[in-house]
Amino acid sequence: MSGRSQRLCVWLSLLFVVFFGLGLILPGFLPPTDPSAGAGEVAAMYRTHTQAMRLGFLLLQASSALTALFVAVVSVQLKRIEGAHSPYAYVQMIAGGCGVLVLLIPSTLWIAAAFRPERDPQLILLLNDLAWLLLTPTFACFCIQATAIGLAVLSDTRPDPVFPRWAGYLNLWVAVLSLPAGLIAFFRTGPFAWNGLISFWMVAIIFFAWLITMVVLLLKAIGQQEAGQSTGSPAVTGSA
Amino acid sequence: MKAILGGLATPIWLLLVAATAASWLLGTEQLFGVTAEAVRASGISVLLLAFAKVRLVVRYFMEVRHAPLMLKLILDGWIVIVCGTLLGLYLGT
Amino acid sequence: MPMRHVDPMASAPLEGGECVARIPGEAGIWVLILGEMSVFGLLFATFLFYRSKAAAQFAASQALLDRNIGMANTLLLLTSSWFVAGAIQALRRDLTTIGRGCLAAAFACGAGFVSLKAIEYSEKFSAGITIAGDDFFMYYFVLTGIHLLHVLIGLGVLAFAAMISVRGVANTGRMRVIEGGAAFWHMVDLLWIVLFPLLYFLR
Repeated sequence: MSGRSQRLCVWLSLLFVVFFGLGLILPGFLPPTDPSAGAGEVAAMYRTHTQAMRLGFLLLQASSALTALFVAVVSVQLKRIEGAHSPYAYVQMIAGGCGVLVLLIPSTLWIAAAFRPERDPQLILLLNDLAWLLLTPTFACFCIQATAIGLAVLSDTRPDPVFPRWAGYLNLWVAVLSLPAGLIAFFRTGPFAWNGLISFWMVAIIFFAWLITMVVLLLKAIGQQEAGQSTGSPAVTGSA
Repeated sequence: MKAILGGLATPIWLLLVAATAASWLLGTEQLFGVTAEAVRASGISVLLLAFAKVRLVVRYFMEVRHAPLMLKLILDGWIVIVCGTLLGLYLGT
Repeated sequence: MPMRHVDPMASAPLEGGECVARIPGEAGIWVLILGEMSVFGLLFATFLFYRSKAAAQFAASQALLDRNIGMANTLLLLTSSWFVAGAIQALRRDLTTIGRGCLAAAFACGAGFVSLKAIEYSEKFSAGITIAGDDFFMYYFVLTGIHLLHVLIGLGVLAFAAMISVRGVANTGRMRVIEGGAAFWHMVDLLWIVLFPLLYFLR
Protein backbone atom coordinates (compact mmCIF):
# COMPACT_ATOMS: atom_id res chain seq x y z
CA MET A 1 0.00 0.00 0.00
CA SER A 2 1.15 3.54 -0.52
CA GLY A 3 1.63 5.71 2.48
CA ARG A 4 1.37 8.80 0.35
CA SER A 5 -1.81 10.22 1.89
CA GLN A 6 -0.41 9.66 5.37
CA ARG A 7 2.85 11.35 4.50
CA LEU A 8 0.95 14.26 3.03
CA CYS A 9 -0.95 14.68 6.28
CA VAL A 10 2.20 14.52 8.36
CA TRP A 11 4.14 17.05 6.29
CA LEU A 12 1.20 19.44 6.11
CA SER A 13 0.72 19.22 9.84
CA LEU A 14 4.23 20.63 10.24
CA LEU A 15 2.80 23.87 8.91
CA PHE A 16 1.10 24.01 12.30
CA VAL A 17 4.44 24.95 13.81
CA VAL A 18 4.94 27.78 11.33
CA PHE A 19 1.42 29.18 11.62
CA PHE A 20 1.35 28.79 15.38
CA GLY A 21 4.68 30.54 15.78
CA LEU A 22 3.70 33.44 13.53
CA GLY A 23 0.29 33.49 15.15
CA LEU A 24 1.86 34.15 18.51
CA ILE A 25 4.62 36.48 17.36
CA LEU A 26 2.50 38.85 15.27
CA PRO A 27 0.14 39.82 18.09
CA GLY A 28 3.12 40.10 20.44
CA PHE A 29 2.04 37.06 22.44
CA LEU A 30 5.52 35.62 22.69
CA PRO A 31 6.08 35.99 25.61
CA PRO A 32 2.41 35.78 26.60
CA THR A 33 0.59 38.82 27.95
CA ASP A 34 0.99 39.46 31.65
CA PRO A 35 -1.81 37.78 33.59
CA SER A 36 -1.56 40.46 36.26
CA ALA A 37 -1.98 43.31 33.78
CA GLY A 38 -4.98 45.53 34.32
CA ALA A 39 -7.85 46.24 31.94
CA GLY A 40 -6.37 49.54 30.74
CA GLU A 41 -3.05 47.98 29.80
CA VAL A 42 -4.61 45.05 27.98
CA ALA A 43 -7.11 47.19 26.08
CA ALA A 44 -4.31 49.53 25.02
CA MET A 45 -2.46 46.57 23.57
CA TYR A 46 -5.44 45.59 21.43
CA ARG A 47 -5.92 49.17 20.28
CA THR A 48 -2.36 49.76 19.17
CA HIS A 49 -1.57 46.51 17.35
CA THR A 50 -5.01 45.76 16.00
CA GLN A 51 -4.25 44.68 12.45
CA ALA A 52 -1.21 42.58 13.33
CA MET A 53 -3.26 40.92 16.04
CA ARG A 54 -6.18 40.12 13.72
CA LEU A 55 -3.81 38.52 11.23
CA GLY A 56 -1.98 36.58 13.91
CA PHE A 57 -5.20 35.22 15.36
CA LEU A 58 -6.33 34.04 11.93
CA LEU A 59 -3.05 32.16 11.61
CA LEU A 60 -3.68 30.56 15.01
CA GLN A 61 -7.07 29.38 13.81
CA ALA A 62 -5.49 27.87 10.73
CA SER A 63 -2.80 26.19 12.81
CA SER A 64 -5.38 24.61 15.08
CA ALA A 65 -7.13 22.95 12.15
CA LEU A 66 -3.83 21.58 10.88
CA THR A 67 -3.30 19.60 14.07
CA ALA A 68 -6.18 17.40 12.96
CA LEU A 69 -3.98 16.00 10.20
CA PHE A 70 -1.34 14.92 12.67
CA VAL A 71 -3.88 13.40 15.05
CA ALA A 72 -5.43 11.37 12.23
CA VAL A 73 -2.17 9.78 11.13
CA VAL A 74 -1.26 8.90 14.72
CA SER A 75 -4.54 7.03 15.03
CA VAL A 76 -3.94 5.19 11.78
CA GLN A 77 -0.63 3.94 13.13
CA LEU A 78 -2.07 3.10 16.54
CA LYS A 79 -4.72 1.07 14.80
CA ARG A 80 -1.97 -1.02 13.25
CA ILE A 81 -0.90 -1.94 16.76
CA GLU A 82 -4.36 -2.58 18.17
CA GLY A 83 -6.10 -4.18 15.25
CA ALA A 84 -9.85 -4.21 14.80
CA HIS A 85 -10.65 -3.21 18.36
CA SER A 86 -8.71 -0.07 18.95
CA PRO A 87 -9.83 1.96 21.97
CA TYR A 88 -6.49 3.77 22.26
CA ALA A 89 -6.65 4.92 18.64
CA TYR A 90 -10.14 6.30 19.15
CA VAL A 91 -9.30 7.96 22.46
CA GLN A 92 -6.31 9.60 20.81
CA MET A 93 -8.44 10.85 17.97
CA ILE A 94 -11.16 12.25 20.23
CA ALA A 95 -8.73 13.86 22.66
CA GLY A 96 -6.66 15.19 19.78
CA GLY A 97 -9.80 16.52 18.14
CA CYS A 98 -10.61 18.37 21.35
CA GLY A 99 -7.11 19.73 21.11
CA VAL A 100 -8.10 21.40 17.85
CA LEU A 101 -10.92 23.19 19.64
CA VAL A 102 -8.70 24.13 22.52
CA LEU A 103 -6.74 26.32 20.12
CA LEU A 104 -9.61 27.30 17.82
CA ILE A 105 -11.84 28.76 20.51
CA PRO A 106 -9.26 31.02 22.16
CA SER A 107 -8.12 32.39 18.82
CA THR A 108 -11.74 33.28 18.03
CA LEU A 109 -12.10 35.01 21.37
CA TRP A 110 -8.95 36.97 20.66
CA ILE A 111 -10.35 37.94 17.25
CA ALA A 112 -13.47 39.19 19.03
CA ALA A 113 -11.33 41.32 21.30
CA ALA A 114 -9.43 42.76 18.35
CA PHE A 115 -12.61 43.20 16.30
CA ARG A 116 -13.94 46.15 18.37
CA PRO A 117 -10.98 47.31 20.41
CA GLU A 118 -12.76 50.53 21.44
CA ARG A 119 -14.97 48.39 23.71
CA ASP A 120 -15.04 48.75 27.50
CA PRO A 121 -11.55 47.71 28.70
CA GLN A 122 -13.05 45.36 31.25
CA LEU A 123 -14.70 43.42 28.42
CA ILE A 124 -11.45 43.25 26.49
CA LEU A 125 -9.74 41.99 29.65
CA LEU A 126 -12.43 39.34 30.02
CA LEU A 127 -12.03 38.12 26.45
CA ASN A 128 -8.26 38.05 26.81
CA ASP A 129 -8.47 36.14 30.10
CA LEU A 130 -10.97 33.65 28.71
CA ALA A 131 -8.77 32.94 25.73
CA TRP A 132 -5.58 32.37 27.71
CA LEU A 133 -7.36 30.31 30.31
CA LEU A 134 -8.75 28.11 27.56
CA LEU A 135 -5.25 26.75 27.42
CA THR A 136 -6.01 24.94 30.68
CA PRO A 137 -8.12 22.26 29.02
CA THR A 138 -4.93 21.29 27.22
CA PHE A 139 -3.80 19.63 30.39
CA ALA A 140 -6.74 17.30 30.30
CA CYS A 141 -7.03 16.69 26.55
CA PHE A 142 -3.37 16.47 25.73
CA CYS A 143 -2.67 14.37 28.80
CA ILE A 144 -5.23 11.81 27.72
CA GLN A 145 -4.07 11.93 24.12
CA ALA A 146 -0.44 11.29 25.04
CA THR A 147 -1.38 8.61 27.58
CA ALA A 148 -3.37 6.77 24.93
CA ILE A 149 -0.42 6.85 22.58
CA GLY A 150 1.97 5.74 25.33
CA LEU A 151 -0.16 2.83 26.45
CA ALA A 152 -0.78 1.73 22.88
CA VAL A 153 2.92 1.79 22.04
CA LEU A 154 3.80 -0.17 25.17
CA SER A 155 1.17 -2.76 24.37
CA ASP A 156 2.80 -3.52 21.04
CA THR A 157 4.14 -7.02 21.31
CA ARG A 158 5.32 -7.73 17.79
CA PRO A 159 9.07 -8.22 17.26
CA ASP A 160 9.23 -5.26 14.89
CA PRO A 161 7.03 -2.71 16.63
CA VAL A 162 5.28 0.19 14.92
CA PHE A 163 6.93 2.59 17.35
CA PRO A 164 10.04 1.95 19.50
CA ARG A 165 9.31 1.28 23.13
CA TRP A 166 11.05 4.41 24.34
CA ALA A 167 8.45 6.38 22.42
CA GLY A 168 5.77 4.84 24.63
CA TYR A 169 7.57 6.00 27.75
CA LEU A 170 8.20 9.39 26.17
CA ASN A 171 4.48 9.87 25.60
CA LEU A 172 3.67 8.86 29.16
CA TRP A 173 6.26 11.35 30.39
CA VAL A 174 4.86 14.15 28.25
CA ALA A 175 1.36 13.29 29.48
CA VAL A 176 2.35 13.76 33.11
CA LEU A 177 4.25 16.90 32.17
CA SER A 178 1.22 18.56 30.63
CA LEU A 179 -0.60 18.51 33.98
CA PRO A 180 1.06 21.65 35.42
CA ALA A 181 -0.78 23.61 32.72
CA GLY A 182 -3.77 23.40 35.04
CA LEU A 183 -1.89 25.54 37.55
CA ILE A 184 -2.42 28.68 35.49
CA ALA A 185 -5.91 28.91 36.96
CA PHE A 186 -4.38 29.69 40.35
CA PHE A 187 -1.68 32.25 39.67
CA ARG A 188 -1.33 35.64 38.03
CA THR A 189 2.39 35.93 38.63
CA GLY A 190 5.36 33.67 39.04
CA PRO A 191 6.54 30.53 37.27
CA PHE A 192 3.14 28.82 37.31
CA ALA A 193 1.15 31.61 35.67
CA TRP A 194 0.18 31.41 31.99
CA ASN A 195 3.33 33.30 31.06
CA GLY A 196 5.49 31.54 33.63
CA LEU A 197 8.75 29.66 33.27
CA ILE A 198 7.19 26.32 34.14
CA SER A 199 3.57 26.50 33.02
CA PHE A 200 4.32 28.15 29.70
CA TRP A 201 7.96 27.91 28.61
CA MET A 202 8.80 24.46 29.91
CA VAL A 203 5.52 22.97 28.72
CA ALA A 204 5.76 24.69 25.32
CA ILE A 205 9.34 23.57 24.68
CA ILE A 206 8.60 20.00 25.66
CA PHE A 207 5.44 19.98 23.56
CA PHE A 208 7.31 21.04 20.43
CA ALA A 209 10.14 18.60 21.06
CA TRP A 210 7.50 15.89 21.40
CA LEU A 211 5.76 16.99 18.20
CA ILE A 212 8.94 16.89 16.13
CA THR A 213 9.89 13.50 17.61
CA MET A 214 6.46 12.09 16.83
CA VAL A 215 6.61 13.41 13.25
CA VAL A 216 9.93 11.62 12.71
CA LEU A 217 8.59 8.42 14.27
CA LEU A 218 5.39 8.63 12.22
CA LEU A 219 7.31 8.91 8.98
CA LYS A 220 9.37 5.88 9.97
CA ALA A 221 6.25 3.92 10.88
CA ILE A 222 4.62 4.78 7.56
CA GLY A 223 7.73 3.57 5.77
CA GLN A 224 7.62 0.36 7.76
CA GLN A 225 3.98 -0.09 6.86
CA GLU A 226 4.71 0.38 3.17
CA ALA A 227 7.51 -2.14 3.30
CA GLY A 228 4.98 -4.55 4.76
CA GLN A 229 7.39 -5.55 7.48
CA SER A 230 4.89 -5.58 10.25
CA THR A 231 2.18 -7.94 9.17
CA GLY A 232 1.48 -9.10 12.71
CA SER A 233 -2.02 -10.44 13.04
CA PRO A 234 -4.45 -7.83 14.38
CA ALA A 235 -5.58 -10.43 16.88
CA VAL A 236 -2.27 -10.24 18.70
CA THR A 237 -2.98 -7.43 21.05
CA GLY A 238 -1.30 -6.31 24.27
CA SER A 239 -1.75 -7.97 27.56
CA ALA A 240 -2.17 -11.67 27.76
CA MET B 1 14.83 -15.14 52.59
CA LYS B 2 18.48 -14.95 53.49
CA ALA B 3 19.30 -14.08 49.92
CA ILE B 4 17.06 -11.07 50.13
CA LEU B 5 18.06 -9.86 53.56
CA GLY B 6 21.68 -10.78 53.09
CA GLY B 7 22.11 -8.40 50.21
CA LEU B 8 23.20 -4.80 50.30
CA ALA B 9 19.67 -3.38 50.50
CA THR B 10 19.48 -3.49 54.29
CA PRO B 11 22.83 -1.83 55.08
CA ILE B 12 22.06 0.83 52.50
CA TRP B 13 18.66 1.44 54.08
CA LEU B 14 20.30 1.83 57.50
CA LEU B 15 22.78 4.28 56.03
CA LEU B 16 19.95 6.28 54.47
CA VAL B 17 18.03 6.42 57.74
CA ALA B 18 21.16 7.50 59.60
CA ALA B 19 21.81 10.22 57.02
CA THR B 20 18.22 11.37 57.39
CA ALA B 21 18.64 11.60 61.16
CA ALA B 22 21.83 13.59 60.64
CA SER B 23 19.96 15.97 58.32
CA TRP B 24 17.32 16.43 60.96
CA LEU B 25 19.91 17.33 63.56
CA LEU B 26 21.66 19.73 61.20
CA GLY B 27 18.40 21.31 60.22
CA THR B 28 16.90 21.78 63.63
CA GLU B 29 19.51 21.65 66.35
CA GLN B 30 21.81 24.47 65.26
CA LEU B 31 24.80 22.18 65.61
CA PHE B 32 27.22 24.73 64.27
CA GLY B 33 25.90 27.64 66.25
CA VAL B 34 23.47 30.44 65.58
CA THR B 35 25.50 32.84 63.47
CA ALA B 36 24.60 33.43 59.86
CA GLU B 37 27.66 31.49 58.75
CA ALA B 38 26.65 28.59 60.96
CA VAL B 39 23.18 28.50 59.49
CA ARG B 40 24.74 28.64 56.04
CA ALA B 41 27.07 25.74 56.92
CA SER B 42 24.11 23.70 58.12
CA GLY B 43 22.29 24.40 54.90
CA ILE B 44 25.23 23.32 52.78
CA SER B 45 25.65 20.13 54.81
CA VAL B 46 21.97 19.32 54.51
CA LEU B 47 22.07 19.74 50.73
CA LEU B 48 25.21 17.65 50.34
CA LEU B 49 23.79 14.92 52.55
CA ALA B 50 20.62 14.88 50.46
CA PHE B 51 22.52 14.29 47.25
CA ALA B 52 24.75 11.69 48.89
CA LYS B 53 21.55 9.85 49.79
CA VAL B 54 20.31 10.25 46.22
CA ARG B 55 23.49 8.66 44.92
CA LEU B 56 23.03 5.70 47.26
CA VAL B 57 19.48 5.20 46.03
CA VAL B 58 20.57 5.50 42.40
CA ARG B 59 23.55 3.16 42.70
CA TYR B 60 22.15 0.50 44.97
CA PHE B 61 18.36 0.54 44.88
CA MET B 62 18.07 1.44 41.21
CA GLU B 63 20.99 -0.91 40.52
CA VAL B 64 22.76 1.61 38.34
CA ARG B 65 25.96 0.11 39.76
CA HIS B 66 25.50 -2.63 37.20
CA ALA B 67 24.44 -0.33 34.40
CA PRO B 68 26.41 0.64 31.30
CA LEU B 69 28.80 3.55 31.71
CA MET B 70 26.58 5.98 29.80
CA LEU B 71 23.69 5.66 32.26
CA LYS B 72 26.06 5.97 35.22
CA LEU B 73 27.52 9.16 33.76
CA ILE B 74 24.13 10.68 33.01
CA LEU B 75 22.86 10.07 36.53
CA ASP B 76 26.06 11.26 38.19
CA GLY B 77 25.87 14.23 35.89
CA TRP B 78 22.35 15.01 37.10
CA ILE B 79 23.50 14.75 40.71
CA VAL B 80 26.47 17.05 40.15
CA ILE B 81 24.61 19.60 38.06
CA VAL B 82 21.51 19.84 40.25
CA CYS B 83 23.46 19.80 43.51
CA GLY B 84 25.87 22.38 42.17
CA THR B 85 23.10 24.63 40.89
CA LEU B 86 21.17 24.42 44.15
CA LEU B 87 24.28 25.14 46.21
CA GLY B 88 25.07 28.08 43.97
CA LEU B 89 21.57 29.50 44.25
CA TYR B 90 21.49 28.90 48.01
CA LEU B 91 24.82 30.62 48.58
CA GLY B 92 23.83 33.47 46.33
CA THR B 93 21.08 34.48 48.73
CA MET C 1 1.73 -14.46 28.12
CA PRO C 2 3.81 -12.94 25.32
CA MET C 3 7.53 -13.60 25.50
CA ARG C 4 9.12 -10.51 24.12
CA HIS C 5 12.65 -11.57 24.72
CA VAL C 6 14.36 -13.77 27.21
CA ASP C 7 17.32 -12.19 28.89
CA PRO C 8 19.89 -14.81 29.86
CA MET C 9 21.46 -12.28 32.19
CA ALA C 10 18.18 -11.43 33.90
CA SER C 11 19.90 -11.78 37.24
CA ALA C 12 21.89 -8.85 38.51
CA PRO C 13 21.96 -9.43 42.24
CA LEU C 14 22.32 -6.46 44.52
CA GLU C 15 25.48 -7.90 46.03
CA GLY C 16 27.26 -7.26 42.74
CA GLY C 17 29.72 -9.57 41.11
CA GLU C 18 30.23 -11.09 37.76
CA CYS C 19 27.28 -9.60 35.89
CA VAL C 20 27.38 -8.02 32.48
CA ALA C 21 26.51 -4.33 32.49
CA ARG C 22 22.81 -4.02 31.84
CA ILE C 23 20.30 -1.23 31.99
CA PRO C 24 17.89 -1.78 34.89
CA GLY C 25 14.45 -2.36 33.47
CA GLU C 26 13.94 -1.39 29.86
CA ALA C 27 16.03 1.29 28.19
CA GLY C 28 12.87 3.19 27.31
CA ILE C 29 11.75 3.84 30.86
CA TRP C 30 14.90 5.87 31.49
CA VAL C 31 13.51 8.46 29.08
CA LEU C 32 10.66 8.87 31.54
CA ILE C 33 12.81 8.72 34.66
CA LEU C 34 15.56 11.06 33.45
CA GLY C 35 12.95 13.39 32.00
CA GLU C 36 11.08 13.66 35.28
CA MET C 37 14.30 14.10 37.22
CA SER C 38 15.27 16.95 34.93
CA VAL C 39 11.92 18.66 35.35
CA PHE C 40 12.14 18.38 39.12
CA GLY C 41 15.70 19.69 38.99
CA LEU C 42 14.31 22.72 37.19
CA LEU C 43 11.55 23.09 39.78
CA PHE C 44 14.05 22.85 42.66
CA ALA C 45 16.24 25.51 41.06
CA THR C 46 13.26 27.76 40.37
CA PHE C 47 12.25 27.52 44.04
CA LEU C 48 15.72 28.40 45.31
CA PHE C 49 16.05 31.23 42.79
CA TYR C 50 12.84 32.93 43.91
CA ARG C 51 13.70 32.17 47.52
CA SER C 52 16.90 34.12 47.16
CA LYS C 53 14.81 37.19 46.44
CA ALA C 54 12.62 36.93 49.53
CA ALA C 55 14.61 34.87 51.99
CA ALA C 56 13.11 36.38 55.11
CA GLN C 57 9.52 35.89 54.05
CA PHE C 58 10.27 32.35 52.94
CA ALA C 59 11.93 31.57 56.28
CA ALA C 60 8.96 32.91 58.21
CA SER C 61 6.53 30.73 56.28
CA GLN C 62 8.85 27.74 56.42
CA ALA C 63 8.63 27.81 60.22
CA LEU C 64 4.96 26.90 59.88
CA LEU C 65 5.75 23.56 58.26
CA ASP C 66 5.26 20.34 60.18
CA ARG C 67 8.68 18.69 60.18
CA ASN C 68 7.52 15.63 62.06
CA ILE C 69 5.14 14.61 59.32
CA GLY C 70 7.81 15.39 56.74
CA MET C 71 10.29 13.19 58.59
CA ALA C 72 7.80 10.36 58.94
CA ASN C 73 7.10 10.59 55.22
CA THR C 74 10.80 10.40 54.43
CA LEU C 75 11.19 7.26 56.51
CA LEU C 76 8.11 5.73 54.89
CA LEU C 77 9.49 6.25 51.40
CA LEU C 78 12.97 4.99 52.31
CA THR C 79 11.42 1.86 53.78
CA SER C 80 9.18 1.39 50.76
CA SER C 81 12.25 1.49 48.52
CA TRP C 82 13.86 -1.14 50.72
CA PHE C 83 10.79 -3.32 50.23
CA VAL C 84 10.84 -2.78 46.46
CA ALA C 85 14.51 -3.75 46.30
CA GLY C 86 13.65 -6.87 48.28
CA ALA C 87 10.77 -7.65 45.97
CA ILE C 88 13.04 -7.58 42.92
CA GLN C 89 15.52 -9.93 44.62
CA ALA C 90 12.72 -12.29 45.57
CA LEU C 91 11.14 -12.32 42.12
CA ARG C 92 14.50 -13.01 40.50
CA ARG C 93 14.79 -16.10 42.65
CA ASP C 94 11.22 -17.08 41.77
CA LEU C 95 10.04 -16.49 45.35
CA THR C 96 6.78 -15.12 44.04
CA THR C 97 4.85 -14.93 47.31
CA ILE C 98 7.61 -13.06 49.10
CA GLY C 99 8.04 -10.82 46.08
CA ARG C 100 4.39 -9.86 45.95
CA GLY C 101 4.36 -9.46 49.71
CA CYS C 102 7.23 -7.00 49.50
CA LEU C 103 5.45 -5.07 46.77
CA ALA C 104 2.34 -4.96 48.92
CA ALA C 105 4.37 -3.69 51.87
CA ALA C 106 5.91 -1.01 49.68
CA PHE C 107 2.41 -0.07 48.53
CA ALA C 108 1.31 0.20 52.15
CA CYS C 109 4.21 2.54 52.92
CA GLY C 110 3.28 4.65 49.92
CA ALA C 111 -0.33 4.73 51.00
CA GLY C 112 0.89 5.85 54.42
CA PHE C 113 2.78 8.68 52.75
CA VAL C 114 -0.37 9.77 50.95
CA SER C 115 -2.42 9.67 54.16
CA LEU C 116 0.10 11.71 56.10
CA LYS C 117 0.28 14.17 53.24
CA ALA C 118 -3.50 14.53 53.33
CA ILE C 119 -3.34 15.22 57.04
CA GLU C 120 -0.56 17.74 56.53
CA TYR C 121 -2.49 19.56 53.82
CA SER C 122 -5.68 19.70 55.84
CA GLU C 123 -3.71 21.07 58.80
CA LYS C 124 -2.59 23.85 56.52
CA PHE C 125 -6.03 24.48 55.07
CA SER C 126 -7.66 24.71 58.49
CA ALA C 127 -4.97 27.19 59.50
CA GLY C 128 -6.06 29.27 56.51
CA ILE C 129 -2.97 28.55 54.46
CA THR C 130 -3.66 27.76 50.83
CA ILE C 131 -1.86 27.59 47.52
CA ALA C 132 -2.63 31.24 46.85
CA GLY C 133 -1.15 32.35 50.15
CA ASP C 134 2.35 33.69 49.95
CA ASP C 135 5.08 32.69 47.54
CA PHE C 136 6.65 30.12 49.85
CA PHE C 137 3.40 28.25 50.19
CA MET C 138 2.82 28.45 46.46
CA TYR C 139 6.05 26.47 46.00
CA TYR C 140 5.25 24.22 48.94
CA PHE C 141 1.87 23.17 47.55
CA VAL C 142 2.94 22.99 43.90
CA LEU C 143 6.16 21.04 44.52
CA THR C 144 4.75 18.64 47.09
CA GLY C 145 1.57 18.38 45.03
CA ILE C 146 3.38 17.42 41.85
CA HIS C 147 5.48 14.98 43.87
CA LEU C 148 2.33 13.55 45.45
CA LEU C 149 0.95 12.99 41.96
CA HIS C 150 4.04 10.95 41.20
CA VAL C 151 3.56 8.94 44.39
CA LEU C 152 0.01 8.14 43.29
CA ILE C 153 1.19 7.11 39.84
CA GLY C 154 3.91 5.05 41.54
CA LEU C 155 1.31 3.27 43.64
CA GLY C 156 -0.46 2.33 40.45
CA VAL C 157 2.81 1.08 39.00
CA LEU C 158 3.51 -1.03 42.13
CA ALA C 159 0.03 -2.52 41.99
CA PHE C 160 0.50 -3.34 38.33
CA ALA C 161 3.88 -4.92 39.08
CA ALA C 162 2.32 -7.07 41.80
CA MET C 163 -0.39 -8.15 39.39
CA ILE C 164 2.03 -9.37 36.74
CA SER C 165 4.39 -11.01 39.23
CA VAL C 166 3.44 -14.58 38.60
CA ARG C 167 5.38 -17.79 38.90
CA GLY C 168 8.28 -17.88 36.51
CA VAL C 169 8.18 -14.20 35.67
CA ALA C 170 11.93 -13.97 36.27
CA ASN C 171 12.72 -15.39 32.85
CA THR C 172 10.32 -13.32 30.81
CA GLY C 173 10.34 -9.84 29.36
CA ARG C 174 7.81 -8.97 32.05
CA MET C 175 10.63 -8.94 34.59
CA ARG C 176 12.11 -5.97 32.75
CA VAL C 177 8.82 -4.12 33.05
CA ILE C 178 8.71 -4.85 36.80
CA GLU C 179 12.28 -3.63 37.19
CA GLY C 180 11.35 -0.50 35.30
CA GLY C 181 8.46 0.05 37.65
CA ALA C 182 10.79 -0.43 40.60
CA ALA C 183 13.17 2.15 39.17
CA PHE C 184 10.26 4.58 38.83
CA TRP C 185 9.38 4.08 42.49
CA HIS C 186 12.99 4.67 43.55
CA MET C 187 12.87 7.89 41.55
CA VAL C 188 9.82 8.98 43.54
CA ASP C 189 11.80 8.27 46.70
CA LEU C 190 14.92 10.13 45.62
CA LEU C 191 12.95 13.19 44.55
CA TRP C 192 11.47 13.44 48.03
CA ILE C 193 14.95 12.96 49.52
CA VAL C 194 15.89 16.27 47.91
CA LEU C 195 12.53 18.01 48.27
CA PHE C 196 12.15 17.43 52.01
CA PRO C 197 15.28 19.25 53.22
CA LEU C 198 14.89 21.85 50.49
CA LEU C 199 11.47 22.91 51.71
CA TYR C 200 11.63 22.06 55.39
CA PHE C 201 15.24 22.68 56.49
CA LEU C 202 17.06 25.11 54.24
CA ARG C 203 17.26 28.49 55.91
